[in-house]
Amino acid sequence: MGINLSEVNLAYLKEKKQYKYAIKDINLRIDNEDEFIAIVGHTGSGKSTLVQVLNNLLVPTFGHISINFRENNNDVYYNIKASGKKVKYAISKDNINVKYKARVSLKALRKHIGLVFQFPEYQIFEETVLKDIMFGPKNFLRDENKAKEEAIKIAEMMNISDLLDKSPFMLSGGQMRKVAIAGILASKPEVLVLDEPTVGLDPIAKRDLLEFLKYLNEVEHKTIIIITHDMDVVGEYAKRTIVLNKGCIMYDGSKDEMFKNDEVIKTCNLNYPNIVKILANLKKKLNIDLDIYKYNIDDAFKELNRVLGDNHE
Amino acid sequence: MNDRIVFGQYINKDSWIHRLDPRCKIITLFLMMIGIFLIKNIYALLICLGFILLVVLTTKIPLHKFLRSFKMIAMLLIFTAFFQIVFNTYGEIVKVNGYDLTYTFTLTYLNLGIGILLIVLYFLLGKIFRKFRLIQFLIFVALIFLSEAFILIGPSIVSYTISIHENGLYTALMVLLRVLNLITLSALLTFTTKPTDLNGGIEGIFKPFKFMRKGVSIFAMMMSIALRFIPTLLNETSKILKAQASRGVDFNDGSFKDKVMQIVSLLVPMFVISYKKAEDLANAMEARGYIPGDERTRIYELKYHISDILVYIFLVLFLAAIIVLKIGGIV
Repeated sequence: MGINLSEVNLAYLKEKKQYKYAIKDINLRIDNEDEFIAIVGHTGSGKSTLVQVLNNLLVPTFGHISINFRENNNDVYYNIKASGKKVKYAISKDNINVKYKARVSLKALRKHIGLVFQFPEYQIFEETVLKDIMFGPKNFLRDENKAKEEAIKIAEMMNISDLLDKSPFMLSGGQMRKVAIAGILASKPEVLVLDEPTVGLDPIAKRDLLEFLKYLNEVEHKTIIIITHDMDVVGEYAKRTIVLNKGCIMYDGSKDEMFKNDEVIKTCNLNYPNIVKILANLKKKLNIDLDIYKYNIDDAFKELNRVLGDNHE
Repeated sequence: MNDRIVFGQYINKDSWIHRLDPRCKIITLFLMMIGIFLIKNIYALLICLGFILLVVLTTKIPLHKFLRSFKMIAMLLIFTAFFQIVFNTYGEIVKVNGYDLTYTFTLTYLNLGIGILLIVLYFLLGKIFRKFRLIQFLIFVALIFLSEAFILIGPSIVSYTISIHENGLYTALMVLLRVLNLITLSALLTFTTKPTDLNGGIEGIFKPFKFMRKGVSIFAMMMSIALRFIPTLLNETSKILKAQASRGVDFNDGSFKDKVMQIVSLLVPMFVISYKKAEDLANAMEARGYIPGDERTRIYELKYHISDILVYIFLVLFLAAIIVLKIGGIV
């Protein structure tokens, strides 16, 4: 179950047979349950391209994508095979008798993988918040009443029930973003991908959003993939990190290993979370044996207490 | 997405046309267009086209880019030529090897059936094979006519004759050549001139009229902003398209009601974005001291070089030749 990318490349044809790769040789397995992945890497490293490939908004130039979800008690496989200009698609129930075709509507796939773009507030267009949140489920479910139910449920979860009858264009930036994200969540994707969701939000809105994502991940067992430049977010929330460098996956694994791996940090212009920085400084200044890889205040405090013990108040 | 819009796109190469003064290019284009409209002689038009194509070759821009700009109006040209040939009945009927080019078509019930079948086939083919739609269309039209000319079984509904007249052929050819000339000329201008230069050129041309109205520089600024924002807005459009696609909008199919919804879901965000961008830009311009209609200095002053003067001399000669030939009754 999940998303499987093997040898996926996406290239832009520059001149005669000269390709410029946006992403190159991507091999990736993403489960559709319980994962919290942070994709990091500096600008132009192909992060946004990669998440758009997951959702089939961008079609790869070479490679094979296999995506597997449960639909109506059936295992449904979406296969995309690309080799140069030819792209073949297949939707099959068992992945044994796969019949490839030139064109297949992959709309159903997008129901399972929800993608929230950067500045999602720009995708809002309906006259009330409720209608806009309903738009996604209405497209997927083709049932107005069910869509409305879903929208109201999601609005309650995100604490925006009081906005439902308002015009989305009268809201503040943070509220608009919440509405836009609710619009994606309302179609109940198993995998939720967010492209820099916290940019331009105030600290409280940012914390709210991230805590909500954490809740989705821990309670509803959804897979969350976020693209971010904020190492504090990576440190505190992510379980797994993927580092992209010049379109290639440079690192894929736990965040602990990543922060301990100096080579990755240096070549990709990454940084350490603030708490790690503070702990590292304390370790150096006080010359104590401290485990600096703690990502939230409670853990850091416990660690300090452990090392300093009773002789320090 | 950006690949589709060939017409009106700047292609960066280094050639003498690229280096010409934009004012010179605009004036030459405009006057040459008027000149070409005056010509009624096919040979003269052919010479013009040949000459323009020679100039095109010197721009170092691949020829297929020009051909692609023809593709946009190919349908229009074919229709014009077709109707001219079929319906123009002035002049003698054209003779080939002593035979009149007159054809009789008969629409029988069988032909009607074949015709409808072919139309259905054409649309079905479109679902599978999306390329060369224009050629496909022409082939199917030709097939319908062929069936009406040769398959004459069963009772006929209506019978008609089409004869090709000299005048029709002549006019069709003339219209075709004229439009080809004009398209190549304007493609030549837009391929070799940056939008900003084009704008500067227009401003330069209208400079003498400044005493009449103050709005020239404002208008030119508006034009340049509009041109500059085309790629930006295209980018935003593709972003919104993708964002809505991830909310389950399938832009490829759907009923009429769905289509309306799809367009609304694209248009409203685009309006919001455009307004926001316009507001930001206005503020940014004011912050950097832009005052509408005020005297401004330019980084790149437009200057005429020797090549521009040569082009002007050529232009004068060209127009003079047309006027002389026109008076002489040759073209």
